[in-house]
Amino acid sequence: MKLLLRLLKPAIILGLAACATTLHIASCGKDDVKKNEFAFKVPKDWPAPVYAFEGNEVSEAKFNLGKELFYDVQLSLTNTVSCGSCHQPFAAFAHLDHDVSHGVYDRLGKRNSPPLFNLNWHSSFFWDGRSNHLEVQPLSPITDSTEMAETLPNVLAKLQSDQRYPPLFTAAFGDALIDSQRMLKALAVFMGMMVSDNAKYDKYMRGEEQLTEQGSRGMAVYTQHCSGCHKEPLFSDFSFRSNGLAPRLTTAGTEDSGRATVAPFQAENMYKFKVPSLRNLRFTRPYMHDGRFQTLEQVLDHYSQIDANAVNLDPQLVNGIQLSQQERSDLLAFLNTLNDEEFVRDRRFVK
Amino acid sequence: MKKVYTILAMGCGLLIQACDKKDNQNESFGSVKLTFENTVGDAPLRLSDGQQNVYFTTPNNESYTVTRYGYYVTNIELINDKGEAYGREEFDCLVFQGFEDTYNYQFDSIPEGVYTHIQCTLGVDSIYNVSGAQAGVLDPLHGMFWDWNTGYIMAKLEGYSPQSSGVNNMISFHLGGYAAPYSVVKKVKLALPTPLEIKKDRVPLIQLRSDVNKWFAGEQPISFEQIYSIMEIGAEAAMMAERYKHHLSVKAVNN
Repeated sequence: MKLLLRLLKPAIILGLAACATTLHIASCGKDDVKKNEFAFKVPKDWPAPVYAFEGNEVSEAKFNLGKELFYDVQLSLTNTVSCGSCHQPFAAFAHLDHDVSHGVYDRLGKRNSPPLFNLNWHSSFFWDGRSNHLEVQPLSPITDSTEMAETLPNVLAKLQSDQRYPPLFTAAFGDALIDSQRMLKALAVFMGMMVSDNAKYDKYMRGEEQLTEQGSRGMAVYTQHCSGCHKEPLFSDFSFRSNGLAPRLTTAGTEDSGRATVAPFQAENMYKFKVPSLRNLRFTRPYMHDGRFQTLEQVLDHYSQIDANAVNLDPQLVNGIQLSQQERSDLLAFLNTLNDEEFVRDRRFVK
Repeated sequence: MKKVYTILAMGCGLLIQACDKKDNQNESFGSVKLTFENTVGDAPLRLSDGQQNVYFTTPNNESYTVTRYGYYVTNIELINDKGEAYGREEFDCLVFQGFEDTYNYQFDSIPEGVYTHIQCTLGVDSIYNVSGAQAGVLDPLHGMFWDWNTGYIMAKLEGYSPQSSGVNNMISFHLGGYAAPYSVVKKVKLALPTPLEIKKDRVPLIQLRSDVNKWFAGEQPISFEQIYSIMEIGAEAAMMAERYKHHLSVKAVNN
């Protein structure tokens, strides 16, 4: 590349000057392209996403391929588990009513399957943030022994011998080569397009709808007590914090120390987990990293009786969150405005 | 910068092509071949498989076998006698002992001239550890990518040693980590024993050598009794990398 640039430098300068008119004309033509549903749009007044599909331009063909892959059980060792098995559309792509999910041979995982939406704004993935990019994130569940327990070479061999795929890869990437990079980029397009921005809250923020009186009061409760971690408009700051949950043994028989499991080990990471979004809570029960709470009431109970001596407890929580009964029901009313019915019913994401 | 090129290429492809051609007329280009051979000291490395074992000796006089050895050498640049560096994004190698097709590489479109040094990265630059799915030698398919803590395994060495305190006397070193303070990515610049002449229509050869024992050498040589397994990012990996960064040398240049 360095060499190429060196060679091209005179050409670039020349080209820039000489082609100014050409480029101008070209860009004028582009403005006329009508918006299509497969363009990735950053909702109004949202921050810029961490991942804006750099080097992986969104297209309908990539989306379709990604969707086929997302729901393909061949990604698992036993050809029984797909991404969609533990990430269901009607559950905002969490796993409804499962504290932890079951992978191949009904092996139980250690943590609650997180919902999938607005992923391009995440600075890391998984409850412990061990993955740094949406494109490489799927490698973890594909190879995890309790999830899909498959190897990348095996997955690719299966896709290569499945006659559905060559046309899909060709449509998405120009030729029928099936490799891990293309597979991962297509999955990233499918998952990254899962933007949830049509909750009542969003419509209120866009000036399209009003909150109820109770919802407005609840928003004030949220702002005072929750927004320090669950920051608008994504309703998470994606940081790692301990909310004082007492450590419990996982299905593996060990305590889950959260972020501290990610090397290099740092004691200050013990029992910290990524702050989850407050969007779409109606669809994503149970709650917390181990799915220990079935209801939001139980979650609020926890916050009202936090153990101030919990290891690495977030400083904002040393006194817990004390709400009156009124404040509590107001807050729940506000949280209800964060549920995006249109998102969970979006047919584009359903197989 | 790639983007600039792409945009320009789309916007005024014809003109760029014309300019490119003009440049090509002014400068001629040649190719170079790189070969890798892996050794322990001066002895050729041979893999053991449990049935047939080949024992080597560390600088600490401990006996060991090697069952797997692989490493990245990336961002390869040649430095000419004027001190100018030439390289291309795709000048990357991933060498696995026992896989002969990973020993040989040819790189083209290098300007004619006399080159005195080769410069490269041992490992994979941080940018490729944080930029999503990659292809070629950086494809995670090669088993040199951690999915439980995103990033490349820059080099991998596995085997057995009677002195190892590990399970079944295993030794296992997967060096990873691209960020301070525990980065194991090392940039090295090696002098060529004889100057390399790049000329059109000729393909000279640089013979590179990787010495496994360099991983364990140093003022305080590694003892497998204490250090037999490094599988994650941290101070131990960084310590090992300070030794491992000497593993690559230039054996010869054949013009």
